[in-house]
Amino acid sequence: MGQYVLKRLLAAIPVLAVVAVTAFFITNVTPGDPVRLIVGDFATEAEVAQMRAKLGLDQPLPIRFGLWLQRVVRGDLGTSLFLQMPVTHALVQRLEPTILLALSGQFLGVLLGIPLGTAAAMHHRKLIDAGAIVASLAGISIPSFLMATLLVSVFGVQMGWFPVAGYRSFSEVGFGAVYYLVLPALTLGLMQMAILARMTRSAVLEVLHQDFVRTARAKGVPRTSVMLKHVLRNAAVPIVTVFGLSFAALLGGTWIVESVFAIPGTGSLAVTAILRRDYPVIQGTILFAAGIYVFINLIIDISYAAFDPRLRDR
Amino acid sequence: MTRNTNKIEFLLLSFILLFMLFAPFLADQNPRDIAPQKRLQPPSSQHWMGTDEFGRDVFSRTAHGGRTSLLIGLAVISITILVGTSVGALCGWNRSIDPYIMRIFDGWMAFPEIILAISLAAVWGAGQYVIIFAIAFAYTPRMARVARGAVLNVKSRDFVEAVRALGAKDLYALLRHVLPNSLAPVVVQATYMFAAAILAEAALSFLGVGIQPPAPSWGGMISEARDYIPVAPWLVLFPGGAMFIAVLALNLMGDKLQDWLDPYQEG
Amino acid sequence: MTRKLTLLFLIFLLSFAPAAAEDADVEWGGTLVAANALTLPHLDPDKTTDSSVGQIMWHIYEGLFELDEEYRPVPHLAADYDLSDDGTVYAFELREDVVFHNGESMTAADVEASFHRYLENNGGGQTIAPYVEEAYQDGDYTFVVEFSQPYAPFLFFLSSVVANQKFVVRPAEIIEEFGDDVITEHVGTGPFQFDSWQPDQYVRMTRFDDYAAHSGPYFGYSGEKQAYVDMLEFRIIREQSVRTAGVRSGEYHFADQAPRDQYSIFQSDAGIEPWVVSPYRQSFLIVNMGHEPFDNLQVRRALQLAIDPEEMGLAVVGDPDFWQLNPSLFPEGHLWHVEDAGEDIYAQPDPEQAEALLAEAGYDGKPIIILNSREDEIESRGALTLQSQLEAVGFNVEVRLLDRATVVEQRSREDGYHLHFSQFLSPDPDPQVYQAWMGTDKWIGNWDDEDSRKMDAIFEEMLITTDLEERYEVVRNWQHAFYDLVPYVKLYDFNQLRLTTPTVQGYSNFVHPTFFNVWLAE
Repeated sequence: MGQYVLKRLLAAIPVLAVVAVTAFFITNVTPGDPVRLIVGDFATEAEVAQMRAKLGLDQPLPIRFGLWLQRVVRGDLGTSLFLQMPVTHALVQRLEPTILLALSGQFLGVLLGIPLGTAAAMHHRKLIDAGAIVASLAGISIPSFLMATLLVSVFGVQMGWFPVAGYRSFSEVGFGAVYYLVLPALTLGLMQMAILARMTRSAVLEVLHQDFVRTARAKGVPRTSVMLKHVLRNAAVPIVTVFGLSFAALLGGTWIVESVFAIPGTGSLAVTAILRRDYPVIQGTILFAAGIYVFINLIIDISYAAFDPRLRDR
Repeated sequence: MTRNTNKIEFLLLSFILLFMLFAPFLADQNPRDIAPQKRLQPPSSQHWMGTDEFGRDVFSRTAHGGRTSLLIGLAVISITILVGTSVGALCGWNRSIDPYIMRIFDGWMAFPEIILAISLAAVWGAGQYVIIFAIAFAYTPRMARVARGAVLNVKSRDFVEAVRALGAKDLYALLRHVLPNSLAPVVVQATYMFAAAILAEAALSFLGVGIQPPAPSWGGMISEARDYIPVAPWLVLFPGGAMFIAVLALNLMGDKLQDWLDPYQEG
Repeated sequence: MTRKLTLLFLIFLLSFAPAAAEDADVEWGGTLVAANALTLPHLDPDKTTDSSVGQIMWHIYEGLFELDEEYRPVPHLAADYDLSDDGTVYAFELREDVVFHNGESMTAADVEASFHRYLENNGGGQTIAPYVEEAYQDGDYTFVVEFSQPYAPFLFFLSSVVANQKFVVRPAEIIEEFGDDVITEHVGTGPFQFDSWQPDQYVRMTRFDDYAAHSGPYFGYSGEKQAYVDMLEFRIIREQSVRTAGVRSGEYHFADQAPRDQYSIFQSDAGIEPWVVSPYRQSFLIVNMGHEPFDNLQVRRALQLAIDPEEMGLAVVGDPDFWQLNPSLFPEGHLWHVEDAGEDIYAQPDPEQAEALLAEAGYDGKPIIILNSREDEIESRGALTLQSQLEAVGFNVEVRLLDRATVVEQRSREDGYHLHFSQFLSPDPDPQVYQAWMGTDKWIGNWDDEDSRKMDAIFEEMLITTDLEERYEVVRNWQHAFYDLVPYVKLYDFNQLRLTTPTVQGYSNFVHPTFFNVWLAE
């Protein structure tokens, strides 16, 4: 097991290297000009050239790539063109809101989704099944920005229960931070709920119909015990896959929610960086996201092995 | 109840399909024709779903927009099924290439579709092909992972071992026994992606890199309409409602397909 | 007659205004949160023409001159000035009571250092620089600028609120430390002092207790200013619906760029105070004259005749209370407003004549690219409306609505676009500002022919004509030439809608949102 993990970790290095190179070139060949955004609409060509030189963007692409690579190897992702701070600094600063948001969104998703999905499977083709499915789907049937807008207008403005937008860290306002997280987390949680419920349902269903479960039930093992001992254990592999993947997608998919709620997370960092071509930040966030995906997939594969011993030695 | 839910899905889905096929003919007004004098009018006999901020007919735009949105979803899943499943299944089956391809996908998934959408839009113009390509690009590794997981799961079952022990060729075993039995998760994933692609188009519109206006799409309409909710709720209600029904119907349909495809559930 | 009376009455009121405000119910303290949709690249107004930087930082930095109610420059950090008889030497007397936020007094040395940086870095300064012979301090409180020729718009540039052209004074040490680099340490002379900036989140500033106020009547950035709130926070909220919701729920005291179509709803909402900003901006269509077909004047005239600004205003802005037809490049009542500009052609669409002109000019049906960003609704909706108007007269049109970063790059290329919507501030202080935008090879117009040189000649004359009445004639000629040569097409003037909570008192609704003399009644 330990050797397996080590091997996987080593395998991540070439992946990240390829991502780094690709990220640099995709970012830099994408049309658009950050310099003109900095100097404003009415700047003269001289001002544009002056600022371009100051930011080092007048150098030919291969030279910029070489300089960037040299720094990245030393763990320096460069300095943002807009944020007046190093990219690593910006990422660290923006990580806390995103992780908290994703965790609380996933928490709400699991809280709602897994019971709904299990209930639906247990009562396959009965009223509860249909009801649970439709309920779980409501959250992903409209775009998240619309869901967010609706939640804000109901719970932020009409009821006045939660702030309409913004973020406060726990270190700043203590438990009051939760207050700011509720609406964005709910937007995410409703989306996660649907995905988790449906995958739980189909995984549980599939296992329920496998021979060993039928055998167990034929032998008269009580239903709950069958559920816990055989079904959920065997359904765990696909559930874990989806959990991991959806969480990874969530980390990368908090964009919209962060943008609507003006939350300073990595998602909104990436979106604004892309829209204004903040090259170092775009490259940094892509590299960072790749690291997260590699890490989460590693965890998924390890839990595969843990849940299903047959997968272990291969 | 079973009958009823079947009916509901059937009704919803046929509604969407009929709407998509015939509404553009019913909607005789050009979805791009502007008439500022008639802007933001509520639904009436002349404009069944009212008019938008340009005075354009919302019914006509919802009808044509639905075509765009559904076409995007369809194209995206076609691509992801084709590419994702073949690669994923191969990885699940052939363990020697698996680690390499899976690691590539790990990195691949880190590239956000928005940057692809922007890059391509500047080169090809922000048409629906760009959107399709960008979303399909982002979804392919996910589909591959699901397919791979399913193949691994089926492969380890006794009957496959039995088939192989009986001397079946690898490829034959993969195609004849493993792949069909792994299809259920892929289908569920594909329906989910169909629906998700429709929503992804909306998300790209929200970020300002969606389908090029004035061409209508549900996502683009909803994204533009959200600032008018208090004054012209019909702008978001109709395309939003259509999208809601379509996504719901697709998801419900996926569940049915799964039951139908999975040989273990009927026996 | 009535106008004169009104004016007298206003002056009468104004003379009481500050005193009245002071005595009445002013409340000190609190934090004012203003929700804005700004994207700030950095906070140094001299290093960008993006007006969002100036809007915020001019609470901290002040000009040597600022604009008064009639948009005329009045001394602010200067006490007075003297112009030599030949109109080339300006001697500025500085106020002696001005204190920087670092506690040091402002002297001519600071002004000199700031001015040299201004000439080299600021867009306005760079426009002036070729005409400046020398700029130096003369004693502790006198600063002298010598020109090589009379330079009529000088004071207007110094106090301009357009494209960050204003000249502001910083301590000489700061100038020395940063040179031509973007300044990140903000020490000014204003009623507010810089506190902190979290990019994409907020800019915070606090009251500067040692502020030495000017004694003149307050308007915009000029006259007697005071910070009543303890802290002023500009929060960056991109979503329009969230800004509006925040004012409704009381979390924000102010919201910029509120939805105009909801004006009547806001009016009937007791929890919201809507403010219509007028004059605000004017919408222009920029024409690329560098290549076919708009290098041909006849095609440009066809364009002018094809456009119906009235329909456009209705489709783009909506509520007629929020836009006005105005042929002049300055709003009505402004010093440089020209009543009869474009009188035979502006807002008189004639599709048939346009079609005929187009055929005559031999337009070959090659697609016309309208290039704009999607983010700004005035521009993106304008593009869609224009498309239908141009197609009606036989232009073949392709609308490209892309993200702003791509747009600014493409339009800087000579063949990157044909038509582009832009917007300029309506109450521009001086027509000379337009010299940087239209004329031979100016801005993005790629204009270089006999006609462009005619335009250059008018601007050159405007530059050296110091007598106000004579200069008005030149400005009049220029605005007529604008309609004869069609470098741009003027569309309409439009207003902006802002919201405050009823607790915000003393808000004056200047073209930029300013929070001087504003207090919170809790």
